[in-house]
Amino acid sequence: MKKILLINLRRFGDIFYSGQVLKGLAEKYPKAEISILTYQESSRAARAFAQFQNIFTVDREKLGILLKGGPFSFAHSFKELKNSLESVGFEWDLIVNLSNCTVSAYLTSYLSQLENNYKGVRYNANGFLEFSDDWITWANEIMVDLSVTPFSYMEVFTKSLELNTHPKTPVEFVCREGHEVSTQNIFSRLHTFRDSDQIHTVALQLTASTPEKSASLQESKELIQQIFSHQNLYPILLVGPSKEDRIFAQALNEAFENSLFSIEADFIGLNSILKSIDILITVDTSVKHLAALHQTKLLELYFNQELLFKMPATSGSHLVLVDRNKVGTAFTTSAQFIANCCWDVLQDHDISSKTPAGTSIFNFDPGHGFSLIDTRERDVKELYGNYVYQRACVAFALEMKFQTTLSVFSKELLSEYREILSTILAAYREMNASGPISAKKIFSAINNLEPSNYGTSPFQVLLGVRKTQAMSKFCDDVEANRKVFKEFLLTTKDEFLNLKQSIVNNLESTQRQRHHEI
Amino acid sequence: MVNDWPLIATEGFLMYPYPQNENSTLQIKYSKTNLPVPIIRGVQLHSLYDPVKEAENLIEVGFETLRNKKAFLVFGLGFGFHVSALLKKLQAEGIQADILVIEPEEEIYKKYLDHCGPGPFKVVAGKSIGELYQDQEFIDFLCYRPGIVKHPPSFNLHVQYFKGLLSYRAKNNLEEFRTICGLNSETELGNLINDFTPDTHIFEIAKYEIIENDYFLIGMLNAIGATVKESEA
Repeated sequence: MKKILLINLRRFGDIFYSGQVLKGLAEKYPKAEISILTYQESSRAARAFAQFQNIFTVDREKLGILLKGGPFSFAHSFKELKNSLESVGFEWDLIVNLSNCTVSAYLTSYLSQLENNYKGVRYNANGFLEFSDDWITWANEIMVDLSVTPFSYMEVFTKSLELNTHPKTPVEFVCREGHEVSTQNIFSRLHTFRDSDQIHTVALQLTASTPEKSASLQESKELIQQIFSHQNLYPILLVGPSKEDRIFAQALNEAFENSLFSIEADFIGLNSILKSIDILITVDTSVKHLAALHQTKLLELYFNQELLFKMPATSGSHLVLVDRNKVGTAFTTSAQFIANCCWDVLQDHDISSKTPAGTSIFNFDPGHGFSLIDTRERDVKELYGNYVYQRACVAFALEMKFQTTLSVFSKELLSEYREILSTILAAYREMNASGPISAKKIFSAINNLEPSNYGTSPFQVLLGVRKTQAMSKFCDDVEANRKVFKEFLLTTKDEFLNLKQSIVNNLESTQRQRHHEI
Repeated sequence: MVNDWPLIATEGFLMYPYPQNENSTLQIKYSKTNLPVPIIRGVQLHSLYDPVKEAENLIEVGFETLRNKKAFLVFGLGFGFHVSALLKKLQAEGIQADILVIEPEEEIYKKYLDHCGPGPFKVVAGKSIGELYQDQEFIDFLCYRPGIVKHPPSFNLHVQYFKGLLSYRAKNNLEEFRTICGLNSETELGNLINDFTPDTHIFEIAKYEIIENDYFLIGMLNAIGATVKESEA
């Protein structure tokens, strides 16, 4: 593998988030040159990495103006885009589309020239979406409809690219001497405030892109107060280079009679800061993903359980989920709990405090996913149970790894196997009938296959993945489509049989075990 | 005849009279402040009293609405007093901006160069509206969403031209596509669109999916257009 191109057309946080893939690829292919293609507006994040051979950009803003029409011909935007991509070229051994969006799918098709040198999603010559492998198919077609995210996107790409979940190869960052010196100055000044060596700096990033992700001013005040009150912790406020962040930081600082240390930095400046702090408490922002790549200790703060499993920090972290409806005005207790957790994480201890009402704590490991450490909330326990079950279903369907979590559902799973298998066989009989076939008949057979709770059991996962993959092979020839559909039904039937056999084997071994115990 | 050559140009060490176009409708007069003022077809393009002062007033009056612009498109060059006034104003305000001047009459630009020399701004002179919209530099400049500064005497003299420039609509046909993209029959894409009439709309050929790999670029552009509309909404 000589030349690898990452395509990421999303925002800053997503660019940092894909640093995990960069690490994994750099470890797997140490001699490869890795480049990135991004929108110009997001390239600032890519420039924080020293590891990219090239940072290619597409100027979306300019294209947006040209595409408005009026005096601008479509030819202008076509020429602009083609010229932008000229420097990217087509000589790539591997193209990884990390964006999973329509634009990046077309881009991947264009740059790969439909050769089999891609990972992710792209369009095929018939204009259908096609997916590089089972994991990518599942993530794009099934995961998006689920109420929880059993595998985060980076876990999906780690599996798709067969990368190490804990790559040791460090990410190289751009650091400027000026930033390094000023960071050292700040932290040496900070050290003079410390009474003993037992005091650790806790950086706080409490504002994000939306209010539901951000800590409110009151919550931030209470959290900072609790950190101040902790004998071993000292808070530092991180401020993004935006007007809103500055106003928020100023309001916080006024509440503490301007005694807070606050540091404003761009992404390159942050590289120096993140190396110097002891731990970062952060809401769901781009900073957390950058910190994860620096191996900074992390405590993530969430206020919305729907967002919890989507994009955890890739280095692994502890996550505190606060249900505002239950905590209400009693955030002080949650803040105290967070400060105590912070100390435990710093000491590499297990979390010792009990969670207060409305507050839950999780751990995320990139190899094993989320673990619920403690909660007293029933809905959070149910949410986590659903996560664990979904995760086991997907791993079983796509990797044939039967997890004990599924054992208790063996009978239900076998019943579902019989139900779905009968629909597969019915569809096969219909397709196998002699006489002409119509496109309508094929699509009707496809629709009849779809189970009601799509994607919530291993059989549904596998059926959904295989069906999507078969449909992407469809073309204008109805007879050819019938053949593809029949092949899909037969293959899926065989795979179902393997899954069923694993469940039966597990069931038998459990029964034998019980028999011996008796 | 020598008396008909009022301007002197230099080339190397040789001095020779600059030939005046006998059919030219452009005359030069001097203001009371001793600055050259062009008069074309009887229309005086700057004040004969104080062209600098006049230009500064023009810029001062309209500047507030353009304060946040990083690029300026100036309609009409004349002898550039208003462009110099704009540059001076930008410098005073600490604003860095690009300036592009559109001058329909090439002769004015030539005379301007003779009298004033090139300024720190770009001038496009004597191009038709169609040619302008095929000029990549002009298109790139428009993408900066420039503020428009009209030089009233030049604008009024070429009112149809400037109105045409502002109301121009692209045709989006294959002829335009071929010209803008600089395609010839030797290129794959140029060869593929040969079978269509020049006035065929570009989207007509896109739907036949015959432009092979470039089809993905069209798909991509449509998707980018949708994301831009979405983010604006």
